[in-house]
Amino acid sequence: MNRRNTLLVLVALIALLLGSFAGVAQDEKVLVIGHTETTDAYDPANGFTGTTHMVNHVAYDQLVTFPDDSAAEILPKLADSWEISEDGMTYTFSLNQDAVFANGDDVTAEDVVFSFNRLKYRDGNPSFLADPIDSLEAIDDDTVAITLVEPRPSFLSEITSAVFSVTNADVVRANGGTDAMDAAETDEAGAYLDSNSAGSGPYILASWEPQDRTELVRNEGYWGEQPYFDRVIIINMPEAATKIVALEAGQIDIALDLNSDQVAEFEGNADIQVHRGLSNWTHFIIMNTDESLSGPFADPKVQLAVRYALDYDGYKTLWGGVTPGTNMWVGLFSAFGEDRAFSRDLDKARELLAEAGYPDGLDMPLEYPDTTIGGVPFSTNAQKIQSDLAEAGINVILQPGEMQVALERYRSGDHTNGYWLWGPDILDPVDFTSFLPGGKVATERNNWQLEDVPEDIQGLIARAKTASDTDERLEVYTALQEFIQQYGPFAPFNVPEQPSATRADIEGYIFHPHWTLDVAILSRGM
Amino acid sequence: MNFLQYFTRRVLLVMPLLVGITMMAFLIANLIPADPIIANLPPNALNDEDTIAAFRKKWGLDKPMHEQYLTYLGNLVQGDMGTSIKTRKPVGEDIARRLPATIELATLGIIFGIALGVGLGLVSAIWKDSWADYFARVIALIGVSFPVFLIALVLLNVFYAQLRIAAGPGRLDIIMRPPPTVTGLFTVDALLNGDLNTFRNALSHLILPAITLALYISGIISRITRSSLLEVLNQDYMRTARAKGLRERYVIGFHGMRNSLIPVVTVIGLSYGNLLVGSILIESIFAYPGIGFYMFRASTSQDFPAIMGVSLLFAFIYVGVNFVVDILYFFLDPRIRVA
Repeated sequence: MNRRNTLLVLVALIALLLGSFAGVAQDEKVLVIGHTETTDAYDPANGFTGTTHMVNHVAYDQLVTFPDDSAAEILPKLADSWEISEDGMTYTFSLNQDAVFANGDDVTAEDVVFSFNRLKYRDGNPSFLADPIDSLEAIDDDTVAITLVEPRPSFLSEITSAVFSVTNADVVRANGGTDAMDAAETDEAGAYLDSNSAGSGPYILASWEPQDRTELVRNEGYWGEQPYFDRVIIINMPEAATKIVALEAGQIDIALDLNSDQVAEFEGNADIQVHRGLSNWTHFIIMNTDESLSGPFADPKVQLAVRYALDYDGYKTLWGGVTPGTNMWVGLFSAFGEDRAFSRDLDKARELLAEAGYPDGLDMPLEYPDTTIGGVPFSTNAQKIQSDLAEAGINVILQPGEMQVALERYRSGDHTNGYWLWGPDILDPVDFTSFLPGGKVATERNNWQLEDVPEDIQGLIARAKTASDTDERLEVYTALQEFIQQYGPFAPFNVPEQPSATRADIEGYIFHPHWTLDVAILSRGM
Repeated sequence: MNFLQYFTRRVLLVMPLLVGITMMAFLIANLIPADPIIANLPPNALNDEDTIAAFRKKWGLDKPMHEQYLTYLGNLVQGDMGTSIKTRKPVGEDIARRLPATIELATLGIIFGIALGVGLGLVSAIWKDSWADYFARVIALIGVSFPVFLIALVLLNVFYAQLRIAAGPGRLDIIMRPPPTVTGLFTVDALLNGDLNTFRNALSHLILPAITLALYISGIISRITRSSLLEVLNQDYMRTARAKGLRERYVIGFHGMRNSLIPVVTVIGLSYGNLLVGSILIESIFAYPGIGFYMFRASTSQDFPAIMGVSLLFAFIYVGVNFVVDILYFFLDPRIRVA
């Protein structure tokens, strides 16, 4: 090839490449989401991660659901009404007559029975969530009764989860699925359900390339309101820097899983909108109730002093979010939010320490895992705790540990004082009982026994676990939160924000604590 | 020594090396103080002892380490690389699906890299101590000394996000669909399918990561080319060649290059290792779903079967490439034939 030809080929090649940026004709409405994929499976009975919840929330419907932005209320979905038996053991749901699966089949009580039984017996990651269910019965086509092992006021909150998605029994069976007791060994529908959905939601799962992309297409026969986007592509971009440039270039519409520092980059960029939702992590200090382990910090007065000594606004400056009133996650029904949270009062803290017999201050060992969760490094907060408490006369000795080691000491209740975080297992106020005597955190990890608290409080704790009436729950949980604010061994100090960013033309973006994002309510403005 | 003898000796040397590599990879993956449980279970599940015990049992983490290793080796011999904790698919299948992407990128990367490296080296050596030499050496220095992720980010920011003249992350524009799979190489498959649009798109997505890879490996190649060629240029036979009246192009191209190639070929072989390592970071930053991206995710989630699988694959490729280099010596250097 002579030199002129070489040149011509080069020019042609460059022209060819540049030509590809002319853009692809876009007659369909496509939404592209960049995030860090966590998917373990899309089979509702087997997947239990953030990405799974986001996808299955729209690929399937559940019996009941939460409002778009919180977990404070139970709303009808596939079930248009329900009744709870007097003893709190049996829930009877009446299904919406209009509901149909994406393939046109009616959603029937039989499908609900099949889906929940399959979840229970499949032995997948989320199967434990079906443990409270004793039996299911399809009373007629549109009525299903669920009997529990014991009364469980949080049951409705729990079945909002995409884990309790109602699948089309015929389709799942045709692909090897079963709801028999031996489903753990015999069910073979997992592979099918990981790349196809069999639900009644506004979208259909079209494909999944693990660790690369997930595609959803609109369910044209959806029985509810049609969503705006025809196609939703969820791309795995674990590097924050990549997500940021891709969002700036307009290749993705939404960048999830960013932290406060990263979204700061978008300040002043008119093309991009930053959203600061609330994460569901509550960061807190825990002081061992066993005096032989934590010494002076087993004294409720010292514990209260710690609560008064923390600079709550400082943590908000660092991580955004809100200051919680107690360890009940602030997004839950009846939770004490910022209006009922502590504010810093160093005089009061010193006074309390003096009353407790430590006018000259004291040492406080603080154990924590040396890790970062949700973009918040424990070490940064631990150093701030150290400097906050120093001003009240408490000399904090930082004891960071490798996660597994620290966790072991914490779990076994052998720690002195610790700094940990908590995300609710269940989006229901009953989750808070973990922090009350008899609960997982309070007793197993912190040796706070039921007999340590007055009898009337013991009675309230018992009622908290069974009450299902809204007014009663409000009364009980309010009283318990007031008690723990004064006498509890915890000092919750921050619920950080969960930042994300979208192109400015994306409308309807709402961060949800459970399913992260409902893609069916998004649209593109002008 | 004839070729067969030379070949056999090389093959025999490779065997214990590969067994040693499996052992090293296994030890390193097991000894780092990180816990696959924390990396793979959701934080809330960490509260549940039963879930943790089931996880350990499922992935064989409850057995002593030597037993885990022997089981792994036994399965490996039968062609079973285990199942990835992260994707829950057989590691062999995962690798097979992602390898074409990396081959596509690495091929373009090494072509760019050799062209750039040897080119810069030649320029430096021929016009030694001129501004061209300095310029070439600065480029080489940047390639050698800048962290590869930084180069990747700078290129992405400048040419993709700001100037908008290059394609961004991924193998194709996100809304495009991949061509029907024949080879798994998108460029080739698109051409086979007669789809020029997809071909252009796939190729354009290769440019920035391939340039990053090229810069990353060309630094060392150009330095070796320069020093090796400079040494040769001072040899008596070069003066003789010129004295015979040969044209300068022929003097350098035939007498000079051929004789300076041995160290260059060696370093290209070694660069292949850098290329693979570089692909881990580069693919992650370009969200390019190849082996490197897979390895990055596997490492951050302590996905032992996947880490082992990719380490072995890398080792095989590296050993294979250097094996080929050894064989090339045989042809490049007549002295090996007699030694």
